[in-house]
Amino acid sequence: MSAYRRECWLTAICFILVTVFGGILSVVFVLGKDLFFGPEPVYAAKSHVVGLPTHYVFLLVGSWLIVTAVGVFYAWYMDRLERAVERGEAG
Amino acid sequence: MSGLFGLGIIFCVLVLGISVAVGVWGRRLTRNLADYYVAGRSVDALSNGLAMVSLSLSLTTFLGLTALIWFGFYLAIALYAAFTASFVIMLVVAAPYLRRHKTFTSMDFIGERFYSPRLRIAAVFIMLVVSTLYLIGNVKGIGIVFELLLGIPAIWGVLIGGLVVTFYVTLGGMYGVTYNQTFQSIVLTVAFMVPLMMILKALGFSAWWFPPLGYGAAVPAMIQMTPHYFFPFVVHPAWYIAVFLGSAFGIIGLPHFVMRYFTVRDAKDARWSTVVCVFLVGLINTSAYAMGFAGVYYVARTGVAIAPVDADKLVFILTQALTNNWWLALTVAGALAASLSTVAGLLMIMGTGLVHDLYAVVRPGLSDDRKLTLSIWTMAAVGVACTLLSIRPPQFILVTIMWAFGIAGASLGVPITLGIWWKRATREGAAAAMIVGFLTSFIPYVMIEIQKLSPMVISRFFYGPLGWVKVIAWSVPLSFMAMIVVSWLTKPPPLEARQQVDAMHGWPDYREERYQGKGLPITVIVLCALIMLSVTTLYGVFPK
Repeated sequence: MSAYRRECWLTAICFILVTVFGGILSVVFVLGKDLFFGPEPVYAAKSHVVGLPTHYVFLLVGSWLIVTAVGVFYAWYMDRLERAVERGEAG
Repeated sequence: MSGLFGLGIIFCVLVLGISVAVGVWGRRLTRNLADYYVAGRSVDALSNGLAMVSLSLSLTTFLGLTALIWFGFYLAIALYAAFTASFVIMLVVAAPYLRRHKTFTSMDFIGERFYSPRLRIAAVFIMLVVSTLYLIGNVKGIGIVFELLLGIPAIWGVLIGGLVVTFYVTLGGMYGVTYNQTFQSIVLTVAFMVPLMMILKALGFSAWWFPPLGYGAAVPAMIQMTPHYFFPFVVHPAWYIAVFLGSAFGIIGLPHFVMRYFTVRDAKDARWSTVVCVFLVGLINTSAYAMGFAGVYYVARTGVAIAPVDADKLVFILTQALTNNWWLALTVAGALAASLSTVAGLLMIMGTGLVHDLYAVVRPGLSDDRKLTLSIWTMAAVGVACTLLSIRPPQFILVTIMWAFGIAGASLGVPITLGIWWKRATREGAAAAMIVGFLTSFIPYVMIEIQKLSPMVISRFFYGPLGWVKVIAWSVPLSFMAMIVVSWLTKPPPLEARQQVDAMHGWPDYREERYQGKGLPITVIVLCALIMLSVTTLYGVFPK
C-alpha cells in the first residue's frame, strides 16, 4: 500500500476509534440501556468495576487511556511514515 | 480565613511573581516577530505538551466542571470525556499539518489556504468573538480566587489578575507565554491532585491515592442519596453527538489552541506534544470527576447547604472543609495559575490576530519592527479592554466556554479541517462554511444566553437538560455541507492552493490525485445528514 493510502487509512481508523471511545460511547449506553441497567424505576447498574458502574468505567478509560494509546500509536506510525517519505521509500 | 489570608497571599504572590519574571526572561529571548508570535518555532514537544495542558485546564476544570457535575452529573463527565478525546482528533486531523504550513495563526492559515485576505479578516472577527467568550469566563475565575482569598469584591481580583497577565504577555510574547504555561501546568497539577487525594482520604475512600478510580467504595451510598448520578439516559442521544462535534471541531477552530502548534520545531513535535497533553489532561479531568463526586457525596452525606450560585466554588469549599489552610492556599494558587495560563494564551492570539491578520492585511508593506511594536501595544490594549469587559461576567463559566467551542467549531474548525484534507475546497466554500457556521451557532447564543429565551423557541427538539447543546449537532454539519456543496459548485482552487495541501502533508513532490477523491466529501455529507436527522428522531422519548 502506498504511503498516501496508509496515511489516509490510519487517519480514518484513528478518527473512528477516538469518535467511538471519546464521543459516542454514551450513545451506546443510552440506546443499549438494558445491557447496562436493571429495570425502572431504580435502573441499578448490572455490573461494577472497582466499585464503579461498568459503563462509567468504560467512559473514563475509553476517553482517557484508550484515546491516549490511539494517539501514541498514530504518532509513532506517522514518525515512521514520515522518515520513509523523506528517504523516498514510501511511494 | 486569617490563616488562609497569609498563606494564600504568599502562594499567589509567588505564582504572580514567577509569571512576571518569566515574562521578563521571555523578553530577553525575543529578537524578531517570529520570536514574539511563535517563540521562534523552537519549543520542544514536552514543553509544548505541558503548555497545552495548562492552556486547556483553565478555571473551567477547577471551578466550572465541578459546578456542572453539581447540576448535571453524568452529562458533565461526558462533556469532559469528549473534550479530552478531542485532542487526539486534533492530532490526527490538524496539528502536524498546520505546523508544516508555516503560518503564525489560524486566521493566517485560512487566508493563505483559501487565497483570500477577506476571509482572513472574517476569521479575525470570529476569533475575537470566540476568544472573548472564552476569556471573560476565565477572568471571572480570577476574581473568584481573590474574593475567596482576601474577602474583597471579585472586581479587584479581575483587575489585578487581568493586568498582571496583560503585563507579562505584552512583555514576554510567546516565549514568556509558553514557559509560563509550562510552569503553571506543574503548579496546577500538584495543586489539584494533592488536595484531592487528601479530600478523598478524609471522606474515607480507601483508593484515595488514585483519584480517577478512587471513589468506587462510596458508590452504593451515593446511589442511595442521589439515584440518578450515573444515568446517561437523561438526555437525547443526539446530545452526546453534539458535545463531541463541538469539542472535536471546536478545539481545531479555537485559535489559541491551534497557535501552540505553530511554536514547535516540526510536525513530529506537534504530534508528541499532543500525546503528552492528552495523557495529562485525561488524568486531571478524570480526577476532576472524583472532585465532583466528592462534592455531591459530601453535601448529600452531611446536609451542608451550598447555594447554587456558589457551585463554582465547590473545590475551595471542599478543600477548606476537609483539609487545612495549607492545602486550600495551594489550591487557590493552582486555580490562579490555571486562569493566568488560559488568559495569557487568549490575549496572545487576540493581539497577534489584530495586528498580523487584520492591520497588516489592511495596510500591507508594514515592516516587521513596526508590526512588533504594534503587537506589543495592541496586546496591552486588548488585555485592558478584556479585563474591563470581565467586570460583568456570565453567571456560570463553563456554559460560556461551551458556546465558544460550538461557535468556533462550526465557523473555523470546519474550513480548517477541509482545507487540510480536501484539495477541492475553495475560497467560496470556506466563506459559505464560515457564514453558515457562525450564524447558526451565534444567533442561538444571543437568543438563549443574552435574550434568555428558551432553547425550544429555536426548535422543539432542543428540549431537556442543557438542550441548547443540540444546536451544535446542526451548526457543524450545516457548515460542512455548505462548504462541500459550494466548493463543488465553484471554480477549483488555483494550483498554488492545491500544492499547499500536499506540502502540509509532508510530500516532497506534488501529485494532482492526492486528497482529491470524492469519497471524503460524500461520506461527510451523508454523516452530516444522519447527525442532523438524529436530533429529530426519538422526540419525546427522553426527558424534557
